[in-house]
Amino acid sequence: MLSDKDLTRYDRQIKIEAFGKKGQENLKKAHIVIAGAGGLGSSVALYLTAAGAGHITIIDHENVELSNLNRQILHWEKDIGKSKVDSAVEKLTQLNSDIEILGIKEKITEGNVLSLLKGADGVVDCLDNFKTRFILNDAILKLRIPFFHGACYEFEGRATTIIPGRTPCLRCIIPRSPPEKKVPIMGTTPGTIGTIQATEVIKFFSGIDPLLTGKLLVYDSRYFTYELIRIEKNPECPSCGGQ
Amino acid sequence: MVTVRLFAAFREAAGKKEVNISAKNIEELIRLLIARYKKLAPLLIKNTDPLELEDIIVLVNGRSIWYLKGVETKLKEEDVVSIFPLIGGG
Repeated sequence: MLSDKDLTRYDRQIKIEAFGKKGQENLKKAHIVIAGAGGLGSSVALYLTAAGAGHITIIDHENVELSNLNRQILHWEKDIGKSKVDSAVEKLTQLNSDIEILGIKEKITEGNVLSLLKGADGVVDCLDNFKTRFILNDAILKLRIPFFHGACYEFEGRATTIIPGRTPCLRCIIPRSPPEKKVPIMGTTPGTIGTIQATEVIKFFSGIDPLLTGKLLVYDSRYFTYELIRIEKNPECPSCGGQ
Repeated sequence: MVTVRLFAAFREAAGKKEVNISAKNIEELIRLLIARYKKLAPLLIKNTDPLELEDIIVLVNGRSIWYLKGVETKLKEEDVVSIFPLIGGG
């Protein structure tokens, strides 16, 4: 149920016919886990908090470093050395004190992933490595909840929305992890991709189609292109078996 | 002819976003591509003989070649092959 304050606060989006009060109510009920409080996580968390996603959990095990600040806009100079989730929760609760925001400082592993995602209605992939992405991918397949993937490199970004049983999973398109390394990223790239992921979350929970399902968005801000590549389930996929 | 769609840095290296190539499998297609667009070679392959691809994504009609037959995946005239870098930053 929306309060009078909600109706005022979210008035401009409630006015969108396809979204309306029903969309806002559904978003208010949703519990969304944001995995990673870095470049993508900053953008996703800010927009979902502003939009009124009712319950947000943000997970990250790292502390803020100076070299994060070109893109991780939730963290400021004063936060260097502080845990990213504490820094994120501090800003997000100031932006919207009417929603529930929880920060968990933990590394996501095969051993803890299911307990970390307990009660989640959806997971946003704001990670910087495929090893952990695959752990989350397998978990969302077990839990049958959507997974909103995003990734960046220099001026390039990717995004797709994975719905177990309906779409290919992450491993259907990316079978193996590339070597882990610190990659070059223009700060605005995760800003754009995170905004797209947050939009997908809002659309999913308010029932607005079409989503980036069965499609991989390939974004290139250097040459101003957004393109969609059709992706298919893979019967040989070790994670979902093409189901 | 197989339609090859190149994305991101590969597009820049080739100077083209779409190329039509006649090839019987992925290996032949990659060899013809790097012969035609030399700047693509270091981006697409680690080894020439045997052909070993870099960490890239190659989809044939939306399906990863790694679940098909890798570089030996056969191609048909009307196939669409999408090639792009694997990226994972956040």
